[in-house]
Amino acid sequence: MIMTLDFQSDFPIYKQIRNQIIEGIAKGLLKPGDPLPSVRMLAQDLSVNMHTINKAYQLLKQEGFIQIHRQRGVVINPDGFPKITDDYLAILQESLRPLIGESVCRGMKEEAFLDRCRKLFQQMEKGGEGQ
Amino acid sequence: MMGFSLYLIFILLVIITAITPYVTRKTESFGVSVPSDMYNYPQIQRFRKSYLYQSLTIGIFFVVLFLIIETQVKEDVFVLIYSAGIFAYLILTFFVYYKYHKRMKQLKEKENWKEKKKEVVVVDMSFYGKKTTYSNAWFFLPLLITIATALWIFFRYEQIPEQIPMQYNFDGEVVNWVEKSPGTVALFPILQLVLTGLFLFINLVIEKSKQQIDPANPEKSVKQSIIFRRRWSLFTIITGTTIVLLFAMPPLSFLFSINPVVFFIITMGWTFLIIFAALILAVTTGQGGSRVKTTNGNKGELINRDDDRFWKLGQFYFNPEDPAVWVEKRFGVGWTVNFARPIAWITFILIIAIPLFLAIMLT
Repeated sequence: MIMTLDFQSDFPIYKQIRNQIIEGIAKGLLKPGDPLPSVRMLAQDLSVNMHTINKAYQLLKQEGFIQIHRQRGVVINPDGFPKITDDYLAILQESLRPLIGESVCRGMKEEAFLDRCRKLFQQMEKGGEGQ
Repeated sequence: MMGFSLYLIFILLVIITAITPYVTRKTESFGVSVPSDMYNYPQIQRFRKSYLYQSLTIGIFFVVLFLIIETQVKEDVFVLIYSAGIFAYLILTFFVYYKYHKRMKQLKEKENWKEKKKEVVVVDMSFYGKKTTYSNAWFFLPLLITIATALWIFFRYEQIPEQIPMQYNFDGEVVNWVEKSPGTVALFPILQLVLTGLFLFINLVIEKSKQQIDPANPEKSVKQSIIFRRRWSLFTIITGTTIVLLFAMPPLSFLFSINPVVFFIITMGWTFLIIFAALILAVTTGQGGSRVKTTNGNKGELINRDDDRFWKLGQFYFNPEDPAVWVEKRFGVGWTVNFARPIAWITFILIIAIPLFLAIMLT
C-alpha cells in the first residue's frame, strides 16, 4: 500500500498514518496478517521522530486493527477487526455531528450529503489503489 | 605512456563527473528539489549542458597537464601528482557544481513551483518486504576465497621465499620488498576479510537505506527504486567477490611465478572494467532508477516535501530530526549519510581507521 502524508496539513501526522492504515484495510490493500514496517523504518522513511510512529501504532493496537509482537514485528490483526459496538456508534455520532452541522449551515441538502457518503462507501468497499 | 591505464581511469572519472546532472533523480537538479515534470525546463537543461561542457573542459586541461608533467618527472613523483590531480579535479568541479546550485536556488525562488503543488511524503508500506537486494549469503563466496588463501599460506609457509615483493612499478619491476614473517603473509587474508566485510556492509546499506518515492508517480517510482537497488546490489556482490579473488593472487605468486606484468595488466584492467561498469550502470539506471523506463503514469499534482534546508551546499545531509542514517545522494548516483547521526561518523572513522591500522601494522 502506498501511503501519502501531508506535512502542511493541520491534521497531526500520527492521525494521518492511523487513518490511512485503516483505509488501506477497508480497501483490502492491507490484509489480516500483512506485515507493516517497523517503527524505526517508517520513521526513517518519513523523516519523523519515532514517537510519532509509535503513537500511531499504539492507537491502532488499542483499537484492535494491528498487533505488535516483539519478534514478528507489526502486523495487521490476523484475528479479524473490531465489530460495531455501542461505543463506536457513539463516536461515529459525535464525529458526524459537526460535519453535518457545518453542511447544514452552508446550505447543503440532505440528499447531496448522503450522496457523498455513498460514493465514499462504495470506493472503500470496492477497494484498490487510488482515490 | 606506461601509465596508459591511469589516463583511462582519469578519463572515465571525468565522464562520470560530467554526466552527473543527467543521472540524478528528476526531482533534484543541482542539489535543489524541483517537481519532476520541471526536469526538462529550458533553463535547467541549459545548466546541465553548461556543467557538462565545463567539467569536460577542466578534465581535458588536466589530461594535457598530466601528459606534459609525465615527460618531466620520475614515475613515482608522477603517480603522486596524478593522485593530487584527481583531488584537484574533484574540488574544481565541485565549484562548478556550486555555481549552478546557487543559480538553481534562485530559479526555484523566482518560479515559485512550490506554491502550485501540494507537498507530501509518500511511502510504500510493503517496501522492505519486497526483495530490494540480492541475498547477503552471496558473501560466503569471498569468505571462502579468504579462508582458502589463509589455508594456502598456512600450509605453504615454509616454501614461501624469505623476501616478499610488496610493490611494483609500471614496468612490472619490484620496488619494495619485505621480509617474510607470519604477520606479513597474513596481511593478504586480513585484507580479504576486511574487504568482504566492507562489501557486505555496502549491500546492507543498499537494503536498509531510506526509501524515496516521487509523489508525482508513486507506483512507477517504487518500481524504479527496486530495480536501482537490485542492480547496485548485484554490482557490489560481483565486484566484491572478484576484488577479494585478486587479493589471492599475490600469495599464489610467491610460489608459482606469475609474470608481474601479467599481474599488473589484470589488476589495472579489472579496475578499469569496474569503473566502466559503474559508469554504464549509472547511465542506464540513474539515481533511484530515474532512467529506467517503466509504465508511464499520470502527471501528479503532488511534490516531495521540500527538505532543501537540510542539504548543506546541496550535497551534505544534516537533519537531526531524521532517524535515517543512510540516504540517497542528491547529486550523483549512490548513497550518502545523515551527518546529524553519530553512527554515520563512527562508520566513517572505522572505514578510514581499519586500512590505516593495517598499513601501520605492516611497516
